[in-house]
Amino acid sequence: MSSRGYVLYFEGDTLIHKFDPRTKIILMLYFVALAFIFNHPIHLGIVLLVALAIWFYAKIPMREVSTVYKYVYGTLALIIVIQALAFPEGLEILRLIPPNPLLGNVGALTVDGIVYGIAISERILIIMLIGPLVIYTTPLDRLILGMIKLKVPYTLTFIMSTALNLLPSVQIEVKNIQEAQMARAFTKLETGSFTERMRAYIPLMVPLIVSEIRSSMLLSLAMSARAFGVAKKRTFYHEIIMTTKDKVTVAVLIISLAILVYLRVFYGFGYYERLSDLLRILW
Amino acid sequence: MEPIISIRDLSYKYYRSDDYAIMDVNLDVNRGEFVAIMGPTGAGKSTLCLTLNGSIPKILSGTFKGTVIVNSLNTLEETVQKLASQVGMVFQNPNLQLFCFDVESELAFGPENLGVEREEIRRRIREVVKLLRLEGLEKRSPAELSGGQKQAVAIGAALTMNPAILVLDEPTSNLDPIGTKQIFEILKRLKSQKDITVVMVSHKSEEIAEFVDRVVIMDKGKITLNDIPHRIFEQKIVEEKKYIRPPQVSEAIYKLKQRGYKFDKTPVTLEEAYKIIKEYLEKNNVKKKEPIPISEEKATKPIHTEKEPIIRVRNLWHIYKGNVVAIKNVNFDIYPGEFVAIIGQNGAGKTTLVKHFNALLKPTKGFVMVKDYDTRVKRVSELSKYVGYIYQNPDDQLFAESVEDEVAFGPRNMGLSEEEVEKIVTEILENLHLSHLRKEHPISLSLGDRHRVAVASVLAMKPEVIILDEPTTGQDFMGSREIVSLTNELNKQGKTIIMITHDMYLVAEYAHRVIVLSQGEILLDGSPREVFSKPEILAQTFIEPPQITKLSQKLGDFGFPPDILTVDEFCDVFGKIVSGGA
Repeated sequence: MSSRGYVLYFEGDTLIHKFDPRTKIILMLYFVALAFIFNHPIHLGIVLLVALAIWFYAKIPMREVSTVYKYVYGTLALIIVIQALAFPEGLEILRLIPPNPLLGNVGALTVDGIVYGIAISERILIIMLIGPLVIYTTPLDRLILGMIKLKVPYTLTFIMSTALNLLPSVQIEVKNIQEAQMARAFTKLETGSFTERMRAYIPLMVPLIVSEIRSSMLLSLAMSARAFGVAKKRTFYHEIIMTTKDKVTVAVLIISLAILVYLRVFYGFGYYERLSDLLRILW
Repeated sequence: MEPIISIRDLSYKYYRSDDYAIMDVNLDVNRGEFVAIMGPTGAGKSTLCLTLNGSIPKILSGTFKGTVIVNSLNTLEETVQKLASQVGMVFQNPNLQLFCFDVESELAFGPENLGVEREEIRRRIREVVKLLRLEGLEKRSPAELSGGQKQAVAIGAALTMNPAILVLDEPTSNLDPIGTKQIFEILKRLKSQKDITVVMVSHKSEEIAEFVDRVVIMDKGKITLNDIPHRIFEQKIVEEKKYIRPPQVSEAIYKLKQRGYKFDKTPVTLEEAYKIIKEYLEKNNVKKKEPIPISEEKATKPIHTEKEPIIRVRNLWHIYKGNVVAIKNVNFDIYPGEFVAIIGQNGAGKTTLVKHFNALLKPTKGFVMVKDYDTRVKRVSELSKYVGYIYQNPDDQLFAESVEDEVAFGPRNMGLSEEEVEKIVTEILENLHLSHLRKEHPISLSLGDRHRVAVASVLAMKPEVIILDEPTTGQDFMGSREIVSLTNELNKQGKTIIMITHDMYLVAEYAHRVIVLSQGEILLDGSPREVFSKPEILAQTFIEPPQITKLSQKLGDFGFPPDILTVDEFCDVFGKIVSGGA
């Protein structure tokens, strides 16, 4: 029983669910902004924890969190290692490549490098958590309304909504093709090693891309046939209303962001250049 | 009166395609008419539909010649969105055209985009909900609805834009028989109550004959016939039967005429046929008598004498997450060599049930044994040697670079040597007439060929049981025939066949046994004769017997048996009854 468009929404009646989509979009931008103004692993860590806390608060199944993580594990590990090795200065732990004219100081595992790598990973995680959070707690059509009301250009809204509509179908399609492979005595999906299972995704690409192009074509035909994007002035049958709670939340977000930016710019809050700075805070 | 749709010398070729999808099409449709378009796959039916709201050539660009005028608007001069308020579109796949949170938002989406006042939208929603009998569903998510309800919502979503014309491209091909009939009834109501012009692509001859005003038949991009159903089904198509299936009642009278019985008219609907035959019988003084079921005369012996079952299902429950009970305590055995059809309304649990046979799904409670293997502990890949699974959509099961690799995939995974694999591939491709496509990429083939490759790739593993999940959905008459005769051939070679289908004509003709599911439970389990002679029970799960069976049941007073399965059988019985025998 496949269905599109609704699969990405987890019903609930928490405050997050009740927020106006605009509030949630602003909340998302807020977290993205925080992820970029801080580079300190502890500050970023706190932001990450808050994002996770909202996930739990919104009662999104834990399975979904782990899905998000599943795809980034390897990438994050790689980022930490590369950053650790590539960071040109700081306290050396282990030198792999001696300093040379070509690479300069690069090639040593430094504490600063590791810390920097962790910080970047945290940034990525924050963004990867907060995007789905908004999508999982907002019905797609309300999210589209929110974007339209926030004056996001029509083309962008259309691309976003199409992509979100097709996402569940990609999942279903992958599952179908994998089932078909297993049903043809393909054992690697069930018993193979991690790399074997990963390699098994390669033959999926062609049928998947073909079918998604087909689906997105049909979807765009269906949406234009219902006049999506025609009028300059669109009616909103379900008025989305900014309640007092929404207004207060948005105000808090904007003011706190302003304060944090101020602290960051003038006092270096959440920012470090060298390990010595970090140690100073820890001590 | 000026026609509401006027197509002149229309030809269209898709971008980068070599052939014209439609060629020199001329068609007029009058205001308030209900027109059905029929024809084989690739005839250009969908292409023609897409020209009516300007999607072609506005969204799908290509070579476009000729003119299409709808409600006095030239589609070349208007935007798709402007035309959207004139021409409502409903597509085959309900999941791709419903994308809102609830039914009400779905209905509001079109008029919202057009900038209609909120009060007016509310009024239109109320009207459409009443007209389509969607009361109580307004706040439900479209995902929770049945297939028929989803298509009704898709129709409603087009109607709230107040179109003058409604265009539907195979809206019922995924629906169960009664869901299909409901959609046709809705369309008829629209026509009479709102004066909407309806153009619909469909393969369902019986419903078309009953509901539409005119039938347009297309083949290879051209319109080959354009007439009222009576003249279409009277003879032309019956003679060219390969092309399109006529309603069974028309075929029956046609065959009776060939056998020398005199009828002045050819009926196209059940009611007409009933009247004509009743008059004939009364005129010939055929006395009324008790009907004797055929099954009582020739007791069909069960296929499974002395054999061990190949599949055993015991106390099977399947509960999806969210506590959705899909299968409720189901018990039965399937014997080697049986041809079992599994039928039931959309969402009855048919696919869930069969996915247990190769361990794609594991029982929540109870168990399934395939031969001596318990599917709870066996892996899908291990069971695949015994149970082959053919999906409805061939594109879900084709992933190799060439047809030969596709077919070799299973045998290779089974660990056969390259020589053995080579031997099997050559043999299977030969059998299925695919040898000439050996090096082709599966995705580049036609739908019919893709389906054959999918079948070949499963057969290559030489499974004893073959499961087919709605193999004929979306196939034209010829395609369906081909798939089913291939399946029947395999059955004759000794394979056990399990087929999920909504096509009762195929069930009647080929299946040995029918399992009827309703809401996860077995409603009936027996031969097609037994099952189809209980129409009241079938209706609970939105199934109707074939039209010829219904005709025979209506004529029960004259001794017609309630379990006729085919047109030829009906003709035989008719002969006996008229000559006073039987």
